[in-house]
Amino acid sequence: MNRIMHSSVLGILASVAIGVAALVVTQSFNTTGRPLPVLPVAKEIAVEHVPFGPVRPARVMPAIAVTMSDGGKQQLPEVVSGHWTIAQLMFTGCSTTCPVQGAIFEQVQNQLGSKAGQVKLLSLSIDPLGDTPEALQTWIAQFGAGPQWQAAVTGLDDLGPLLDVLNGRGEGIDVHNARVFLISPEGELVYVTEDMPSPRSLIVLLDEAMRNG
Amino acid sequence: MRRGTWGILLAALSLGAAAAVAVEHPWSRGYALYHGYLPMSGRIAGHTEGLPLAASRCSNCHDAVTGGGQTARTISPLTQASLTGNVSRRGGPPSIFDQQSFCLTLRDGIDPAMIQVSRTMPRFTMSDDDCGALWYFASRR
Repeated sequence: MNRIMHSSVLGILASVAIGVAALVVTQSFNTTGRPLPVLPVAKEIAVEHVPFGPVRPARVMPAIAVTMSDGGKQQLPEVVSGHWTIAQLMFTGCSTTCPVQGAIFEQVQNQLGSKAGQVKLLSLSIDPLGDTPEALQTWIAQFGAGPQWQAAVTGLDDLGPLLDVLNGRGEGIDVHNARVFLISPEGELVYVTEDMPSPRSLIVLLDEAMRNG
Repeated sequence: MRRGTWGILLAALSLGAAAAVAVEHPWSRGYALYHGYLPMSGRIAGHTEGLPLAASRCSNCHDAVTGGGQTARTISPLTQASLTGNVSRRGGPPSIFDQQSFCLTLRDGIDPAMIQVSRTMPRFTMSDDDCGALWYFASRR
């Protein structure tokens, strides 16, 4: 009796093994016995911009080196830690959206009031090849940048990771969006605005962020 | 007064008068507005704060050098061909600008095919005279 049961169990196991093997074979070969063609990988879907609103979970800013408009070199997480930061993407050779973005930051700076000591403005250049510290300093100076407003530029190799964290990558290397990125004192991206947010809306955003921590 | 002095004075007066007439000509006024030599009050739609002239003059965008990624923005030059050609704009049906629709676009951001232009283009508060001068200049480039 035991021998019969033993044989039955072995038979079931053998059947399962044959079935699995058949399944594997049919996944690899068609009925003609020839290997199935390898289909091209589907076209990669373009990365969508972060819809404006809170970023959940918050994103840690990449540990990349940046050259500041004062000529100093720092790690980006250090630059944005310990205070609230509103950041924008720009480059000094841009005559279209960047002057408007600069004007928006100028108006924000002028409306910060008592928040001025807790907030920094950061203009992040997407032109590592063209934007020197002097060019960055001249660019923010034309908008009357105070001590809480700095500009910075990454190295060429670090630009991609930065744009990916911000989802600010465009179709060309000098295309960027006109959103504003809110970074918490912990150095995490917590909010992305629409393109060209109003200065008043940025003040309200900072008020709410600082109130809610 | 010597004859030569009278001649110089007359020439100076003539040049001054010609310059005054030229400045008042719609083309000259339109040129100055287009390049930001005369003020235009512009703001981004939805903003309460106005933009400085350096950020809102027409030439910033419509004369921007295209190339590389800038091409993707497809900011149309303001020329006779682009304004008065019967072409599709922003995916809408073919349309042609005239002074009235040009001014509507400048003030309210609605193009001749009744399609809203990008928010990036400021909306301007302009007198009829200034808008007419800008149209005169742009539609003859």
